[in-house]
Amino acid sequence: MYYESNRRLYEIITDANRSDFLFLLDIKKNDLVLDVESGWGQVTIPLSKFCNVVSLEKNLEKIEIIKKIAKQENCNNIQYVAANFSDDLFEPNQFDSIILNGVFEWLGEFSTGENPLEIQKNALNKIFELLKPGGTLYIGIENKFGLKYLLGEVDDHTGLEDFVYLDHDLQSSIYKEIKQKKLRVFTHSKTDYQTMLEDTGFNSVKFFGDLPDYKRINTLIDLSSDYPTLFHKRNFEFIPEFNGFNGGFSKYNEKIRHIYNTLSSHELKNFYPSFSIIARKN
Amino acid sequence: MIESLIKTLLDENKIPELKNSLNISFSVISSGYYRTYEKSRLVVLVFQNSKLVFVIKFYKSNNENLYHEFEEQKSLYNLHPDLIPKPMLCEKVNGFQILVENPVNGKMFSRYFQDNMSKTSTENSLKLILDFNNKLNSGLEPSTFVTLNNEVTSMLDSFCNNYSLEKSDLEFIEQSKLIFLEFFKEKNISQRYSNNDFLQKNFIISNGKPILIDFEFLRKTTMYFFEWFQFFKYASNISNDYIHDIIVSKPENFFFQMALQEFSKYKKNDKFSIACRMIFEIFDFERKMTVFSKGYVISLKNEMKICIDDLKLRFENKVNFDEISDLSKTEREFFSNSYYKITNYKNSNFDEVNLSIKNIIKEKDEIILERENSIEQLNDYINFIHNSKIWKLMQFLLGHSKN
Repeated sequence: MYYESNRRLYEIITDANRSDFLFLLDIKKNDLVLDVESGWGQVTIPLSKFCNVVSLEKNLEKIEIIKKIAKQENCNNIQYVAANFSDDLFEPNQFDSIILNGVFEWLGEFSTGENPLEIQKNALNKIFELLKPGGTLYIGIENKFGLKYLLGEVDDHTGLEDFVYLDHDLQSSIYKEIKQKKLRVFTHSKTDYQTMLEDTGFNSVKFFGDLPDYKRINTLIDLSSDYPTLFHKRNFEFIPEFNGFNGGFSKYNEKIRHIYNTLSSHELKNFYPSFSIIARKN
Repeated sequence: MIESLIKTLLDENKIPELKNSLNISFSVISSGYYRTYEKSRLVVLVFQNSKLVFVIKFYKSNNENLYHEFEEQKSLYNLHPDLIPKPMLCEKVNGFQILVENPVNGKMFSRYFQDNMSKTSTENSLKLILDFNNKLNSGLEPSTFVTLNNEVTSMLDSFCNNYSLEKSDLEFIEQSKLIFLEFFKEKNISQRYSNNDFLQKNFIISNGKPILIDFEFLRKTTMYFFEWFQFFKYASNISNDYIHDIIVSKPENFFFQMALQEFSKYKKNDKFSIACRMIFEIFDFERKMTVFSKGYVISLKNEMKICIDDLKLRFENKVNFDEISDLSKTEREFFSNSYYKITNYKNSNFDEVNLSIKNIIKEKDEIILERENSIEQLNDYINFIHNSKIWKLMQFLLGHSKN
């Protein structure tokens, strides 16, 4: 069985907590929600229990898998679109919510444009257009200044140590030198995500700190106030974090645990390994 | 959805203690990733300003089993209002079945334990849980041997149906059952509520006292004493060996002692300890089977097979545990392990290199050994030829022909 041959992938695909962020969104029964790059349907399927879903996935085999799971789970409110997000298929003001779970950082890779950072900005503009007034964008993504990365943990996307916290130009040069190709995957800091979303026109941006990360949610901490972070830091057991590239536990976990204890809750909010971001178009 | 839930609860004045809905924030804790979606739960801690104000629990699948849990929790709360949080309400809010309970402000026991690792603190921390357990035991109700027998039998039947066993395993389990029940035959049997999830992470130390917080598996049972087995089996922050050696004056609780021995290096091979461990492991397996997803059930079954085999070996006295309590040794081990965990990242690359070097050396040793064996075999063969009559005859003939 798959569990025995590739336990890490099995866990990521079947993790019942992966879509827990859906409970943070205010989704209504008649809403239409776009799940971008829906993969094996880990978000599309649970989402369809809340509302109508458009599942956008370029890989036809994956769409076939989602269809089979949907049939098994009696989900009849999913429309499947086999395309890239950059293919411009949708009309403006169409969706109540758009979900980019582990997708935003990859947008440069899925598109042919020259500058991946520009592609990310353009994608945000397009999402803003596609959302109805009052609509919501959800992004699940790593924090480039996550404490584990600052301590040297490998980047989830490139597998390079002491890399992701560097500035984007330096990252690009190092990556080109090592891998002999252009870097097209970028993550950002909490402040940068906030600025990018506000610059696009989203005027309410809310952050949750995801532990151990947004791919395998155990705890979601509201960062709109310092107190939830303080409460968890003071009272809860440390949640071991992952090496996001090979799926094992981070070798820096004990160090992370001790450093979290020394940071103030206000500081700690910037060092969570990843975020759930909810941006509203008012 | 969570924000709307909180808003409705406050708008409809369901949390009378809260006068307004200003400065509300929250955090969400998910139940284990190993669960099926139907059995997955979320716990929402709702804060106002710098205070935890209430707690919401619900199943992601909107499962109505919460009613039962609410009723059971209420019964236990009525017995022990100082030991568990007060369940406030259980109803459909915005179409979602939720359970709301009073907040418990404090530190999770597993964290409290970790933050207080000196000998005295560790001993005092354990005393808190022992006192808690004694208070629960003060609510024991008389039961009968037949009830215990039925409980054990139905659990074992369910286990044998869920898990295909070899004949020798079945025989061992049957033998364990007999030994286990024999122990209780002449004793007074009691029962009480147990949350069947007596884990360190399910206690919060609030104002210096432990409060138990998870009631998903709450039920009345005659096997409430297995709580200690759960407590030590899932203890991860402090080594049970260290705890065993710290507690100078051992508490009188028989099952506390047995559980601590079972989950440390101080195991004993007496038949009852082994039988008790076997019945507990089945009890624990059955509890997990109700919530685990398919992939994790496979892993659970594999672990169970290893456990049964180990216990069988102990039962046949093929494994010996003769550790003598030595606090200075276990303390040294515990703290050097703790430091190793912090500095481990420095060694991990070297470990990989060392491992490859060790493998190369091992391969070379094997080649040398193989060649030595071949030479030895060749020598034996030569000796055999030298000693044979044909060889001697040939030597004689060769000598004779030279002459």
